[in-house]
Amino acid sequence: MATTTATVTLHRPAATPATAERPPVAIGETIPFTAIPWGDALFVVFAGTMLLAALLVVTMRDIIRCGLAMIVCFIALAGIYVIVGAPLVAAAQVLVYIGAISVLILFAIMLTETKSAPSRLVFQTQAVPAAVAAVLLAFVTILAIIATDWGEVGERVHTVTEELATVLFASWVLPFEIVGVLLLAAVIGGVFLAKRERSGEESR
Amino acid sequence: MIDLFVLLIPILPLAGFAITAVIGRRLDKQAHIIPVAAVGIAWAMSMVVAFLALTHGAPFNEEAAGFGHAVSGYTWIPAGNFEIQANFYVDALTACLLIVVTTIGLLVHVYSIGYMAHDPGYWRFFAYLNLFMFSMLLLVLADNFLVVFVAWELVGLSSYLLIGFWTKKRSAALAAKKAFIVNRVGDVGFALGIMLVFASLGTLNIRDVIERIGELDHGVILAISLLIFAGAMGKSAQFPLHVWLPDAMEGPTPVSALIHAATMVNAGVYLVARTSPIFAHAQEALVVVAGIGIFTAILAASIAMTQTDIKRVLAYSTLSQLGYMFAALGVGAFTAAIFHLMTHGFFKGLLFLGSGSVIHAVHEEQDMRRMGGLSKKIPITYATMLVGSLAISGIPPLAGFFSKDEILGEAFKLGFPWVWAIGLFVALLTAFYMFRLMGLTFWGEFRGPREIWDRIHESPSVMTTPLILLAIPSALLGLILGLPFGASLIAQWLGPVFHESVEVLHHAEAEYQLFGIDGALIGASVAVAAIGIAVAWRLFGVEIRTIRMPPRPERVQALASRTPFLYRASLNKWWFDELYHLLFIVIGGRVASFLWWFDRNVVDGSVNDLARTTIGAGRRLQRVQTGRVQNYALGIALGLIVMAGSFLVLAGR
Amino acid sequence: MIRVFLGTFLASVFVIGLGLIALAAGGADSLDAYLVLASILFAIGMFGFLARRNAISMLMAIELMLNAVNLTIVAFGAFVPGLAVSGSVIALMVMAVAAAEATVGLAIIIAIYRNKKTPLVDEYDAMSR
Repeated sequence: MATTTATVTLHRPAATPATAERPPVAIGETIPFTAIPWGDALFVVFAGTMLLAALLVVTMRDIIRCGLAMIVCFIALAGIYVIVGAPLVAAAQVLVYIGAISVLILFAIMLTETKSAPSRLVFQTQAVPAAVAAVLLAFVTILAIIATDWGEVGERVHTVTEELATVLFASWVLPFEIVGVLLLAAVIGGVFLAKRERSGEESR
Repeated sequence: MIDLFVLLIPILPLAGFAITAVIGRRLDKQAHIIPVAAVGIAWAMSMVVAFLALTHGAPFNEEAAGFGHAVSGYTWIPAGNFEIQANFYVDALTACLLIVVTTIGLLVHVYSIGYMAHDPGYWRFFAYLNLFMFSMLLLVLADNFLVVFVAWELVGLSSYLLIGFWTKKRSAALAAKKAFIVNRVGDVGFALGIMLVFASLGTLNIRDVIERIGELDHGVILAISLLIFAGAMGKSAQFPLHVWLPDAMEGPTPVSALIHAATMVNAGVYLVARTSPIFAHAQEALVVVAGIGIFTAILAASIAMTQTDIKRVLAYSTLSQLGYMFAALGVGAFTAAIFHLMTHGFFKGLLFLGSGSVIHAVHEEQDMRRMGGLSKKIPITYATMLVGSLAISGIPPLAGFFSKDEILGEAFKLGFPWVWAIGLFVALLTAFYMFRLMGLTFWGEFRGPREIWDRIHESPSVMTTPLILLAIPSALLGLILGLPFGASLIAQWLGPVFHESVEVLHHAEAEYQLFGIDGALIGASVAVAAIGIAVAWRLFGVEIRTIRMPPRPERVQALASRTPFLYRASLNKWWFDELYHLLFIVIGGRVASFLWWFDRNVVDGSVNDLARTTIGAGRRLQRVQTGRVQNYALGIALGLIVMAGSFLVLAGR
Repeated sequence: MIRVFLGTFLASVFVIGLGLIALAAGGADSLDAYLVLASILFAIGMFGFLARRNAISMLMAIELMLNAVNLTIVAFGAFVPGLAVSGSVIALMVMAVAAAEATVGLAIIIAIYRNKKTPLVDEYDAMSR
């Protein structure tokens, strides 16, 4: 197969365009008996779940329940990724965030849990100013978003995984490799930092 | 050659001072050799220079330069535009002063060998005397106002050191301090005057200033002259800065003779005479000078009449005669003033040294009420002091007659009758108190303790020789310098010096009428002096050859009780010391305390409050540093919101 | 039992309410909606970071913030022509970096915990006055 620097030949003889048509929908555009499109409905559900879960993460007393709420938040976020049209990202979200990071966090909670019950105070003294700051930030950002004219914003496109894979291992291969090295470094660093020190001996 | 002499004249005493200061303690009783030698050589050189200057020998023979000669010293301060040359200038006026200063200086040095023989600070005394000679000679020779000022201050310093020579005596230390401080008050005026001269003319060279004085505004010239006179007032103890001179008698008698009779107090007169062109351009200043001078004269004379300390009488007498000199300067009779300066230097020096001899004889007793009848025991001192008293009273043909009469005559003829009248009255008082002094001291019966009377002896020749040597010019100087009337030698000498000043004042040269107005004036002065002497003889006694009168203390008492206020005022020096004490010590002290309080509480207080505020603010701000990252992160978040918000607002505008 | 039902009902009301708010920005087809959603999530995460006492809670809040950013990137990738694939790729990178950072952060927290015996950041005040 002839290879060029810019393109990679695929096994399929026919080249698939980057922006493909939307796959045909078997269940119809809208929820039956209503005019609400499926997209909007699911968006509402997922978005709401996500925000509720996020609020629970930052306000609950029991830290393990916070972790679980975080997992729920990630699941909802994955759903939103699917609606937006990035299924691979959704899959990665589930795998990485829920499967790895959340587990990691739960392990850490286990390792640092104090013998007594969770502490009385959940929030810092500066919680109220922090809340005010958060609300203000959201307000300012939303204002900025709405006020901005985003230019030629087209239709929501669905990313084709094959195209994504092609680009990932072609033009984005350097960042890909570097991220790999970064992960390696992180793993080594994490192991080293969390290692239980032997009393009397320091291995350098 | 002459230039070298001129330079050496002040340098030799300076070297004498330096050497004596370093090795004097080891020389001890021989410490007088170097200082006396230095002054002796300086005297010889001064005589040569003066002779040449007064006879217009080379290099004093340029008419255009007023028969003066400038000797350039070295450039003291070369600072771009501001250049001070330490130059010397010699002319007839300088010559007259040189004669007086070096002669009396030398005689005082010799006298001190005897007078201070028993004093432990012998070498110190001579070192200070030489320092004083250096300062005075520098003052007289200098041609630059700044150098004059430096010499002025040095003279004041020497006076302080010498008045307070007996450091263990508290009254001496206080008197020295008083002298220096009162001098300082005058010096402020002098310094301001110098600054004003520099500001208006850009030069401090006396020759240049005198040449260019006409360029200035009348008001500026008046200010300059009054300020210079203020300095002269301080140094020459004119009212109201006269309070230091009587107290200065706390110093040893040679000091009183040298500094406070013959030389330092003449510095003021010399200064005004030297800068007479400046004064001539501002006639109001001259009137002020005359007024203050004659007022001082009568004030001092009135006080001298009741003093009991022999040196105080002479001190007030000096004040009075200085007043005469300033009065002469004020009416425009510059030559007469300098003439009187010279004669006064000699006979007052004589009187002081004589009184020192008297004190030495009665073993350090200075109160005249415990003296009397000394003429039998210390004849040389008595004779010379008699000569001095006659001279100061203005009896012809002694020196004082010529100079005093010249002053009074000029005052009358130049249109200042009030000066003449007051001066005449002062002459009466002068004759009176001088012969009161003679009567109390030398005539009548001795009123002190018997043991002292047995031990009185004449002073050693090292002390009496200067007395005799001073009595000669006191007797003859008038005849030499003052005759013939109207075209006297002194007038010839000093004529070119004061020529331009006299011209500016538009004084007409009148013909001298010995049997006209001038004769009448002479007659008046002599008559007045005679009356004063006669009254003094009647009250205090006299024993000259065949003239014998007993002292009448009860008449004195009666006279005193009939004029109680005047007597008390005179005895208390017209309460000037008390007035100054009230003004400056009491009131000034209150002001000073208030200012001290102000400085501590308001000035320092505000600075301290500022510091305290800063510290307090710092302490409060310290609480931002919690050490917790979350607090800092909140700060970041808030900052971010503010920035984003302001961007939005500004972009939307 | 009734508490379960009540809780579920309230939760659903809350969910629908929040979602409708998110929708108000423009629906599932508008870029603004996703961006607004992301910014709300970011704000919630920031509040959690600044206000919680437990270090691990702070880390969970950081994860929320990272996710919000991820959503923004993906949204831009979906709606801006030409950025479709890049958006997803960048999102993947971000995810990987987030994982690495969570690893190291937790390791540090565990190390500090061993030293200070407490996971509460109030007590980490060695730098204070």
